[in-house]
Amino acid sequence: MKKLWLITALALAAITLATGGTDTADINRMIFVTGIGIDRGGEDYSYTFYTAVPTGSDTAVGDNNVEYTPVTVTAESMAQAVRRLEMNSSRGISFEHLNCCALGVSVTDEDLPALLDYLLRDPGVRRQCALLALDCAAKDFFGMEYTGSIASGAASLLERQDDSSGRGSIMTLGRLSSAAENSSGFCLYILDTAQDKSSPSGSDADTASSIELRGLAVYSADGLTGRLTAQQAELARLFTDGQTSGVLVAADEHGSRCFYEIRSSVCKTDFLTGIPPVGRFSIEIDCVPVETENGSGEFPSDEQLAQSLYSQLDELLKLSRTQGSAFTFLETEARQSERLWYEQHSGDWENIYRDALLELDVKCRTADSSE
Amino acid sequence: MHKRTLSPFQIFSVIAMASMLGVPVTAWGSFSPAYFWTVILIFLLQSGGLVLLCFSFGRTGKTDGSEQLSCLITAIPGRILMGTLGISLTLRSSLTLAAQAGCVSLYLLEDTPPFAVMLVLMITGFFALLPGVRRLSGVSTLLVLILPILLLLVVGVGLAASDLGELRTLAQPAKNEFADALVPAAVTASGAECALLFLGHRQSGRRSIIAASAAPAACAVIFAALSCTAVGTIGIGGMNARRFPIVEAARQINLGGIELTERFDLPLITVSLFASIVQIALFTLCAALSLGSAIGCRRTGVIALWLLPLQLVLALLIRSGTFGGVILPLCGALLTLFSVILFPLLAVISLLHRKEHTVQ
Repeated sequence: MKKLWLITALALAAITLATGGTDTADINRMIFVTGIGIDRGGEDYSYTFYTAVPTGSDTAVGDNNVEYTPVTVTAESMAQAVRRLEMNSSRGISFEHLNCCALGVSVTDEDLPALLDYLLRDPGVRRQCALLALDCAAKDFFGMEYTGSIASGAASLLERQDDSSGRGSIMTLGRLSSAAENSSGFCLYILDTAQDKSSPSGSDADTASSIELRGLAVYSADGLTGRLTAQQAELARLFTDGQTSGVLVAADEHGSRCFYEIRSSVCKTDFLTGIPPVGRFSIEIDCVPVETENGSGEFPSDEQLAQSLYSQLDELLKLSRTQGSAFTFLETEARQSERLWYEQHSGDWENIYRDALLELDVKCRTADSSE
Repeated sequence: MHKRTLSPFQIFSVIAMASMLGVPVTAWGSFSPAYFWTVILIFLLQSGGLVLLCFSFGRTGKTDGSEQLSCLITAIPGRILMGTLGISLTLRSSLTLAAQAGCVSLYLLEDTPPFAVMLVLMITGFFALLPGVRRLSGVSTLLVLILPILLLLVVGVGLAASDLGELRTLAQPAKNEFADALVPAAVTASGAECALLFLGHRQSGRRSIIAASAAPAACAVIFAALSCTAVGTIGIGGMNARRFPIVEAARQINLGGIELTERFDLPLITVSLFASIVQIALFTLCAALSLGSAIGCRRTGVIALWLLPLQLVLALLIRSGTFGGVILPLCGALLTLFSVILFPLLAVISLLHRKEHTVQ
């Protein structure tokens, strides 16, 4: 019995000493990095850490309790920049609440998995941090006047861009890591500050009035291959399954534009190997007519709407051929349905896609908005 | 302490816990469709192996693994086999220790040295094994009851938020992947062979057979469900690139706007932490019983006490990468020896043995 007590005492001491307080985190002694911006400045990179510092009030909860400050560090790599940030701060640095990582216009054509390698490897970094490209410098983006957190506003804006079922198209750190492992392409939404820009498309009037969606940057495994405008990006969503929001634009027989709200969409993609391989997209859309340009209130028939959408989507597919493996929809289908074939040919995917026979079928069903 | 009777559900729980830990936390960085199917195949082979083992116990009426082996194979080879099982379970326990400490240090306690985590797991495991197999089976039963609820939550939410089309890749294994998948798959699915030490104590034969064979089959279902969730979330490439792919996938499940769903790794790690403690205790206890039988020593507690620091050293060596390349194939080979060769062999030999009845 004495032995047992001795062993118990030793074990308790060992457990206490082994685990005691090594991983405590007092949030009032922490700096939370909620956004990271990357710019190229000559040989070095300029990293802007958008930090949230709890101000210590223990009564109120919310943004009033937090100070958001952008801190810019110039370094050769992100690891070096983080180290400098840590060395120059009396508080601990945490990436567990990272909302977004913004790539300044000067780095969008670089090798992103390599550029973000530090974030992809560190298990302490939030995997669902949204990735976005900017049409401006990241330093300016995080330095603009904004109510609340810019990083959170940008992430919320992105989250509302896609409501496809299953795995959505919004790029996160976790998905970038998987795309890099699968050597597959991906897309990043492009944002900008809304100052002196007139397009209201994609702007978020409630919480992010000064952030605006500008389009989609398309990447293959080798890097940036092209860009889509905000309107094209909206249309490209139809190549994913289960969209429940968005606006379609179709021209009637007189050339006036008619606007429809998407209720639901289904996209079935088939890939057939061969020479050349065949890609089939079958898209069905349920939508509601909402507005006509000429105010007549007369909308085209379902067939006319389908024909108009077919033309737009076909243009988009043609554009995708010149932009490498743009949109990645067919590539994903090829990888999933013909894995062994795809692994053999993935290195030459861009050429394969360029030569592929693409077939498109569009069906529309309009319903009265009161239905 | 091992000669007490276990109910069928307790048998199911201890065998399931012994087989389970490789499932949630690790794929040894080598996930492929071939690995997926090989693990499931091994679990199913184990199910069959345990049915045959139950049958051979039923034929001889023995209540102890070493007695069973001595009866069917003769004493010296029986002792050698018991010793081999002891070594196998010691190695498997070290792997559990190393894998769990790596997982906890990576995702949960980043600043705590892995050695400290191993030490805590080892000491807790020792205290868990002290009361004996019956108490351990009670803890196993509790965990077996908790696990499905958590797994249903993670798998349900995970599958809802993942790309189910990605699962088609699992149905397309390449032939050349099977050779690479064999060792990691065997290690992941190993553990059920310690059933050799539990099954002799059955009360109702048929129910015990069902319970024993259902345990690896249940592990196969859990493994398949978790793997499908993870593949749907991060794809085969993502799975292959990570040491703890299921934990990593659990961090990436996102229903959109619900931040609670993005930290499913925490409950997963917490439960696997408890499971690993039970598993370390089970393996150490079984290893001590096996080695005790082999060398003719009945002081199981003393042997277990010596095994724990040995396991700690082995786990440190595995983590340092020194012997990982030797221990993994060894574990895989020993699993094959027991589940695929020995258990069917015992069943065949016991067919030649005259059936005996014991008074219970």
